[in-house]
Amino acid sequence: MNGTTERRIALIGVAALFGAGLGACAPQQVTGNATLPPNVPDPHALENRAGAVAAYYGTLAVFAQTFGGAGGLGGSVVLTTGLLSDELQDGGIGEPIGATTGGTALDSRALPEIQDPASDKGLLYTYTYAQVQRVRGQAEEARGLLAQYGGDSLRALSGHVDALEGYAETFLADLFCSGIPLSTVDYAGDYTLRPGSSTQDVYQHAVTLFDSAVALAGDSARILNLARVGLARALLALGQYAQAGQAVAAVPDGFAYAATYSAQPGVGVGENQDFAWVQPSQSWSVTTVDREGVNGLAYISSNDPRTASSAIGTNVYGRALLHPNKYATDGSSPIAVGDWVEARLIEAEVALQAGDVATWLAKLNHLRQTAISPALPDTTDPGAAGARVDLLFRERAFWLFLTGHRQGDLRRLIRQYGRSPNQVYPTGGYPGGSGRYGSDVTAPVPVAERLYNPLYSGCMSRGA
Amino acid sequence: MRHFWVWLVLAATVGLDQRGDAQLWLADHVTYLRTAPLFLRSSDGRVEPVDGNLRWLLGRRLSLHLVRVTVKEALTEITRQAGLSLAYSDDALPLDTHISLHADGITLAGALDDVLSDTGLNVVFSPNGQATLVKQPRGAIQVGTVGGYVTDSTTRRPIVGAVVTITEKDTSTTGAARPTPTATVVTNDSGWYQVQIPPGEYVIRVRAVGYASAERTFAFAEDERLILRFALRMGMTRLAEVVVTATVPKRRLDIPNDITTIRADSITATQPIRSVTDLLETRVPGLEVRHTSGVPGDPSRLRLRGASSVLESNDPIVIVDGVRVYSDQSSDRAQNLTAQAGGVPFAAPSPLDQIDPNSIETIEVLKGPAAATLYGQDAANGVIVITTKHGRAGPPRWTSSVERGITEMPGAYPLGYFRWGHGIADNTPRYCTLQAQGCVTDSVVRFQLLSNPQYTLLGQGERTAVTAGVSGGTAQLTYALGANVSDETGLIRLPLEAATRYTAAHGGIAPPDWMARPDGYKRWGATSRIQAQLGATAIVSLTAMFERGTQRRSTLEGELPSLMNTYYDAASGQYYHAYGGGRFTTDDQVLSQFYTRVEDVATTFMNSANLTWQPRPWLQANADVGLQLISRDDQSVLPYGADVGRSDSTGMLGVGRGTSVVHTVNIRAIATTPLPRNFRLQTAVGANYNSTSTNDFAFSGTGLVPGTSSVGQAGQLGFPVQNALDVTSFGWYVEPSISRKDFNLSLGLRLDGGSTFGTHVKLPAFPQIGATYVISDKAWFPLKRVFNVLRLRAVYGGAGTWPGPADRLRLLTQQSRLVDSRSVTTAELTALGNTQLRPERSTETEGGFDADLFDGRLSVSLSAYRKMRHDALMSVPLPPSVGGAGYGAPPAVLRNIGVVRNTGLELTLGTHLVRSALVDWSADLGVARNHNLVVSLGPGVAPLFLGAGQRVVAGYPLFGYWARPILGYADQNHDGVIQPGEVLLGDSLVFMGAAEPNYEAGLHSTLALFGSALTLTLGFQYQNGLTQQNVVLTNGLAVSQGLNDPHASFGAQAAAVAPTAYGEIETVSVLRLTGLTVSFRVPSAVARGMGAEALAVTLQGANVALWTNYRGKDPNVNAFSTGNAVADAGLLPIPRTWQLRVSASY
Repeated sequence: MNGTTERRIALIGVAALFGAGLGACAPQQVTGNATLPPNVPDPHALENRAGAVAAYYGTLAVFAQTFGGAGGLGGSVVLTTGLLSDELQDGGIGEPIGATTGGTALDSRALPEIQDPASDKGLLYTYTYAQVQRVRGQAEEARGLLAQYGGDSLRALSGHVDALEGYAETFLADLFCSGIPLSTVDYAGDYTLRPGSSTQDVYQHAVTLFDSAVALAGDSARILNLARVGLARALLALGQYAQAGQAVAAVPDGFAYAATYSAQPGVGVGENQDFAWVQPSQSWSVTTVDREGVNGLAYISSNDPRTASSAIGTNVYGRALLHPNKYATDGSSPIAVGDWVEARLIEAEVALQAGDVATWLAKLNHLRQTAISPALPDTTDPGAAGARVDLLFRERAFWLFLTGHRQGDLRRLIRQYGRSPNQVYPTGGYPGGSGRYGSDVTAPVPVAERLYNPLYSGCMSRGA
Repeated sequence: MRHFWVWLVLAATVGLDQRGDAQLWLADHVTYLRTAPLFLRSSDGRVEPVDGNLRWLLGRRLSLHLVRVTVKEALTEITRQAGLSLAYSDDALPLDTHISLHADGITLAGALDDVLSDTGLNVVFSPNGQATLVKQPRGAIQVGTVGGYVTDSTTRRPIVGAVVTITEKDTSTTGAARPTPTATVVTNDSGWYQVQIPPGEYVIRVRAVGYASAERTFAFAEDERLILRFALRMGMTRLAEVVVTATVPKRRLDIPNDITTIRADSITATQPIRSVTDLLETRVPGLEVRHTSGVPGDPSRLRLRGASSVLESNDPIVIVDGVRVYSDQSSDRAQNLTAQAGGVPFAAPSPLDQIDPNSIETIEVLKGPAAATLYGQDAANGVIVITTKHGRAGPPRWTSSVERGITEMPGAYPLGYFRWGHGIADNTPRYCTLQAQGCVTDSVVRFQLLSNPQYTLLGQGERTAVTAGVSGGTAQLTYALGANVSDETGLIRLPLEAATRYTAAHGGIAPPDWMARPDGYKRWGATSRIQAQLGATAIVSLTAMFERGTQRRSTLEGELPSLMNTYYDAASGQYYHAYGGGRFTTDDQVLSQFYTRVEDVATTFMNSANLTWQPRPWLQANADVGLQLISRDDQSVLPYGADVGRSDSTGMLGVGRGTSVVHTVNIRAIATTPLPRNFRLQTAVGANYNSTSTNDFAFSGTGLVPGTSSVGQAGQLGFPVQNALDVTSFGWYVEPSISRKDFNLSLGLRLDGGSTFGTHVKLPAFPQIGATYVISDKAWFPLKRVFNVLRLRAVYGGAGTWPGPADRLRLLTQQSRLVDSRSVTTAELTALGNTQLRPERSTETEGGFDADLFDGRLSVSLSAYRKMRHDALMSVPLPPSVGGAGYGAPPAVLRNIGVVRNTGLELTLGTHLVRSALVDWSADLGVARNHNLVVSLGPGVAPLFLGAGQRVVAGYPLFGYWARPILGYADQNHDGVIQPGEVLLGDSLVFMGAAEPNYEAGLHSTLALFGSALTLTLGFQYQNGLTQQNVVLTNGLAVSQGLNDPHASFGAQAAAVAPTAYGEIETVSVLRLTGLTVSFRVPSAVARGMGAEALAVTLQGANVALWTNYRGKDPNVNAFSTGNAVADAGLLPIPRTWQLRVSASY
């Protein structure tokens, strides 16, 4: 055997060796079976009843974050609607009016629709928007798992999820301009982008969700009554007063559904309220406010126990900050999402709309007698129709103080009761002397929606 | 006497490293030159020195015990044991010579060398292996001997393995091809070479890895013994080098890529090198080093030929002695592990910098997928191939060095403005901006607390380092051992004011060291490499590396941006801390806290085994097996009660434990067969297996028990966080190549697999094709007098980058939460997932030329490349209305949609301007130009927004800066102040500049005087086109002139009040004196008097000066510890360093 032959044989041998190696080392043997790292949740592990329940609890947790908690980030529904309305004021009086951090933009009603995306990200309402939409995405996923693996015994949980998503959409319609896209995460699928829906359509979609919640609630009175109050709230916003009254008629006195929070700050626990976070020592602050911008209500000076506040310190601008007494300063107090008080207020408004002044007044005084201790003195009929509306909305503002209702009510006053924005929203010189209140009554849908949703072209209307 | 020159010749041809007996080389070069037999090969009527094809025969091991035998008897025994057929005439053998020889394991070459020494006989081999003893020609072709040392021109250390080629001088003027070399040898362990040649005129050329080649012409008479010494100078790239590729060591001439080789051991001997990153920076054209901060031990991030991926890693992979090591620089693991459990997100030291630079012999940098195809997964971002020092046969050679130096802050921080006034309505003293209404200015104060010794956070740092090493061995076993210790204290210190307050609050006890001087980096380690000859045909090399680094820092560092913008009102004793857009918080203390201290401890253990087996001259097989383990132990601690003057702190403790384990197995075989017309076919086949596992666990606790630092005794435990990743990759390749002396064509194909996609995967194939052609040897080449060598090259290749194992999945993260006041397990949607993901694919086309000109005085290398990244993974933001993301995170989905292109030119110039006994002046310049472009984001995909105004937009560079432009401004109300409403902003964002420089250059020049007794080295770095958002301006908005000073221009006011970063984004040019070294080599007599063979004293300066139009602190401190985005992080810039180094060898 000469050298060349030997070389050829060896080359063939080398090739055969590696060929055999390739055969022996098939990819699956070498690379394993795509085992997920231990910290990555296996999606299949949730495809059972327990997973469905966990996703349901996830919806409750995300909703609580969104409604009143922030875990340090800011931007809950209660906070942002409070700032845009007359319930709260940004503590940064004296800063440049153009400042985009903190709550100044919301508080001063200066919310241009087209923003530098970098600046836009810093605005509180963008967090609120993303969070509320997150409730919807989470709800879709939970609903899918519950439908697939929950069985009939967990139908009520689906109703609960529907109710919370209905509230989320109500929050969207209350705070943001007309033209809100209700895109969806599709369970076991991809996602679907949607164009902007009008304020009316969003409320109507919420009504559909609440209807579903009522249907699915079964014998869970808590879920059923939550759905009833939410349904009535959405119907009220649509001007369907009679239907709203019917929705809450069966809600018993004493019913309350509240989002709960922890005294321990931080996402991942129970999310304390962002009221607790925006303290004087923090980088920005908010305060409850009395008679904000001419039209604001006398939440402080009225000495009404429902809206009483206490001083909690002074910020850098020398501004004394006030914190609502109804909430603990550690952020651990529950915040009512819907309760019997709201139900009776809705009934009162329905009565007023129907011209039944006696029932209207009786409903209001029933609350003043029974919903607080010690009882409040009865209120009296002011006589004039406009004054009755004022009284009704004042009662709503005081009973529902810092529960995310006031912004929707102010818009309803414009939309349904013919008031002008400058009659109901804070107006005039912005405190601190560096500018004036703007004219916005809604927050724009964040620029990110315009950038990444090809079906979205902007607000249909910035009005109420 | 035994010689192994034959071995050395063979080693040169196959790139191996065979060494002779320790006892003999000393005698070789110190005592005398003898007449050794030549080993020649007879082929086609020509006789020339043997080549590697006979190594299998000459390397055979024998065991000889000869006592006073004749030469013939000795030859009989030798040929018997070796199985050698040796023909000779008895007349040619000396009759009166008797030999005694006792040797076990001596090679055939060594035995013949001993027996035939001074006999005047040469051994001539026929093509079939038959050997004949032939009388050395006398008279007309009498031979003489040429020998000499080859040393490093700077350090004067011997260069081992330098290739010495002696060629008859080409006296023709016809442009004929150069003659075939008369002899080729390599230097031995003391840098000595020796060769016997007939008389005549010759050109001798010396080449070594990482050095510029040297060439000299000499005439040679009969029986002359000539000593020719060479002192080689380091060079960026030289054609003469041998380069370690993925398959086999090759001549650079045969490699179609531009590969930068760094001779690390020479650089560390003179330059202020603290890390591998220091070694690489400015020495590799096309490599951009991004620093995270000036804190000791803080990492840098490397980018080769620009970034290509938005989401996936752009980090190059790192190979140490054939095995892959953990090199991630951009994931969440790049920061302190406790960050994920609520700790402090400081960057952690880079795993690359865990490797002791003093243990490295060479670094080769493969810059893109064209060069790195065969390295497999993730090689698309380039490959850094590190070879550690290995021993040389001989007695123990000891080296040591001691460094001691200081670090200091370069430059000062800008002055701030504070507008002090009072309210019109309430007459209350207050701060108010120019734009604020109802405030009357009383005064405008300029200040900078960081320049005040009482309040500044900045002090002087210190550094001490000690290294020691020993190497040596025998022909069968060599070793190299090294150890290092270094300790550096950073610039941050507790301000005196705060220290005084602490002392008062603690009953006279001064702040502890960790609080007073919190920043530091201490490391120590040891490296060993042992290489052994196994029989006649195999070599095994074992490397073991142990390093331990401890980085200390504290959140005191985070006070820097605050203190930079803090105004102290002495009248009220109040500190006005600026934050955000024109806001202040007031405090009666200069600092806001006493401090969370952070510690990163990383222990690295790496070992590798490399086996080379050459059973036949034409067949070689290699195997690498390696394991690297990095164990991390990180902490964040806020001690109980340390929060003096604030709320009563009960402390916090965060604990992070992590490991990364990397396994590597490589096998390959290379077969070589000759082809007609002097071509040869070399076929390499190989396979790689690599697995990387990381497993990190972190948790935190608050409410510590006084006096303890145990998280187990914490009052409240946070939620534990575990992050783990197991990634396995596998690939195999085949690389046939056809080459001749002046030509090489190689083809490569790699099949790549990984664990990301599980079992059912179609493995992607990545091709490679490259060619080189030396045209300067051609008869028709017209510029022979100018060009010593000119070669052209071109290559195309591809590689892949795989997505993460969970990137495809829709994920619902389970958490324990309080819901309705109960603790429940929730599952929350955090990622939408995408089942359609594929690997990113990179392709690169590179072409260029390399030339050595003017007798080696100038070397030029020019490369042009076009690197494409297809299917680039993009985290495509979805509109928030989709709602499928975690808390605070916008929804996004991964898609293979992007196409990113990097095109560029790289030029390397090496010059030897002056070359004389007294003065030697050389310079190396590397220039790189890279143009990064996002070609496409995919149909219908809108531009992506990152933080800090950075975007990913098709048609523009990755991570470019964008901002709404200030179109104009006017004082419409004539109040002398620009109000926000008086600034006209553009409706849309405009491109401000690329986050990566367009041009980079590195210049290193060495001036050696008096035979290199005194050496001056300068290093410069130049960058142009780097765009940054000035973090000093951004942080200092509240104290900006435009917001406070009535004399500020309207433009400055407009920039300050406008809600855009337009005025803070700058495109900069940078010229930096990176290094200044003065080295004095102590005269030998003095050194010997101190017990050393050589002794050098070096004054070293690093980051000596910076010239830039940037108004921030340092535009090159621009990397976050995680992610790919680039932004100015330069509040604490790279410090200036001065140190003294004393190094000695024994």
